[in-house]
Amino acid sequence: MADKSTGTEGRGSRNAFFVGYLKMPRALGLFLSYAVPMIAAAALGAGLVMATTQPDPGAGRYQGPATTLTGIIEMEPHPVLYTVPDDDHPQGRALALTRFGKNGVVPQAAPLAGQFVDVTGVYLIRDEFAMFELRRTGIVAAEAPPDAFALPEPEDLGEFTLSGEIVDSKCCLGSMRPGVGKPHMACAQLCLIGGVPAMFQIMDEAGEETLLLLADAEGRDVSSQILDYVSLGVEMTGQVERRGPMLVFRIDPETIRVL
Amino acid sequence: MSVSYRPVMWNRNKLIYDAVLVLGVAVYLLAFFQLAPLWIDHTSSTTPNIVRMRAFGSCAILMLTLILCIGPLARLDRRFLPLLYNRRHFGVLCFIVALTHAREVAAFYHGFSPTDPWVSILGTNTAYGSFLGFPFEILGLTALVILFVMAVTSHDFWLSFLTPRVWKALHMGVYLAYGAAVMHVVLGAMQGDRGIAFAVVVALCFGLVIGLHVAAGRREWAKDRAGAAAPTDDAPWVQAGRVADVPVDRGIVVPLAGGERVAIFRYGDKLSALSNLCAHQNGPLGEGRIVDGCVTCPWHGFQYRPEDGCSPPPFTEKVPTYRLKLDGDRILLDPRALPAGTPVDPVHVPESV
Repeated sequence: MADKSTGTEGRGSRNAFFVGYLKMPRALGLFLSYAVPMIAAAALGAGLVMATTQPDPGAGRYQGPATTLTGIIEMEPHPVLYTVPDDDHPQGRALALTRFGKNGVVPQAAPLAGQFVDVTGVYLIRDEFAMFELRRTGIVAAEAPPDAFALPEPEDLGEFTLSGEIVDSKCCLGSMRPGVGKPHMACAQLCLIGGVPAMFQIMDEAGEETLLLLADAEGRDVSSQILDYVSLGVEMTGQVERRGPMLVFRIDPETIRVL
Repeated sequence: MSVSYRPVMWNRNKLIYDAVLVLGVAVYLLAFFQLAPLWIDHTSSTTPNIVRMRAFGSCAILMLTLILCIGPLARLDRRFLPLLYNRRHFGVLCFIVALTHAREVAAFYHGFSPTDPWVSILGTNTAYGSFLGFPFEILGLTALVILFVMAVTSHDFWLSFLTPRVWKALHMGVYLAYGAAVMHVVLGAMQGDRGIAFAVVVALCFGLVIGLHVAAGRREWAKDRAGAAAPTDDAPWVQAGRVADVPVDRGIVVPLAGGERVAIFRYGDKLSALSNLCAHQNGPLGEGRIVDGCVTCPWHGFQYRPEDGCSPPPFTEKVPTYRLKLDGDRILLDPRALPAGTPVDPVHVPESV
């Protein structure tokens, strides 16, 4: 509406008057040509600080190609495949099972509980920890191997009070990097609701990590009772037992304390 | 100013403003995705979906911080007023960036499950009684909804439809959005082993917004105290300053006892008084200038004739006017506002004053 071609100039940028639909006063334009890049640079710097201080997500990853393992499935507290010992693993392996998405394998594994099975899938591996994600044929009944093989007898290691983080094993081992911590909380809760095995991640003073399969005091699935504590730093008390290569932490959810 | 509604009234300054905004966001994201990894020595790469969540999330919180800094910055130094001019586009872009962050989170953290992502966001974590375990997603969603409402009502059609007072009140929700967004970060990402540097950046952003608002508020408060209208024996007239206080082609702002503010302008040898609130977005008319014989708002350039508070044809905006008179070199003001657009004869300043 104004017919002037520029805002009022005044003396210097402090006296210039900006009108949006008119040409920018020269002094003001000069000031902004310095000020705006400085503000942008500050914002960019803040962003780079946030970008470069992202935590190390660890070395978890899927390891293919798809392979078939033979072993016995134990259902409680979560489906775990105890593999037949071989040259690479003379003690056999204990692999918690999962499948695509935020899903466990209870529907597929339950009909074959305690039986010899062939399980086809890929490993999820982080450092010395591993689990197995089913692919295609999933789980099928298999013939018993010629050598005698049975599920390991549980060995009670005593009562412990441990502090650490309740995690969903799948994301924790590398399905997501990182797959732990508060930002990941809802995802971990969905995984546990879907049947992905719940584990307890603890660190010793030297930073050595241990993962324990979580169960209630009777050795059953405890996931529904611990959802509010997933991804938080917590302390809890229970019996630790060894089942072959797998450690199981049988907890009383009433003892959970947020740290 | 416009007599009809168009999607955007483009002009050179708006185009430059938007180009700088888009370029800034593009450079930020490029730096986050491409430059930052050069400094990172990690065991393996972070999942790309999570990097995108962090890039868009951090960009949105920084943008919202800058948006909230522009207002007080412009009050402390009027040279920043051009940044205020097109701030609505800044807000809309901020919403788009925040929405992209939310979509990444919904698809990745809340996806791949039989549970619907929306049900998951609203219902998976319900530990509202816990501080550390608080469902921080709901805070982010609150901020996003507010930004959405502000973005869709940012056009002048809604300003006119809702009235400036309601529109302004609605858009003050940006402070609620910022508070929710900051708490979303504090109870979410900051709990995720992000280290002290991340916490310092978030604290600096929040501190900057608070600090600038406090500084601007203190300055306004001091100006109000210094320039407040003083009662006279000639009630209801109040003393509104001296003629010499009013620079030619500029105005002064006179706070009244009831909290209203009056803008008194000097143009040529005349003085006129209008409400200090622009009819557009309640901008401070008294901080504007006389351009082409009209009082011109410093925020978006809306113009009013000083004699009657009406925008010149074909525009239809009006603001209340006030009566003035002189007592020697003292300006006396009748604090009773006249209906918007009421003509009032300007006061002529004698050469001797």
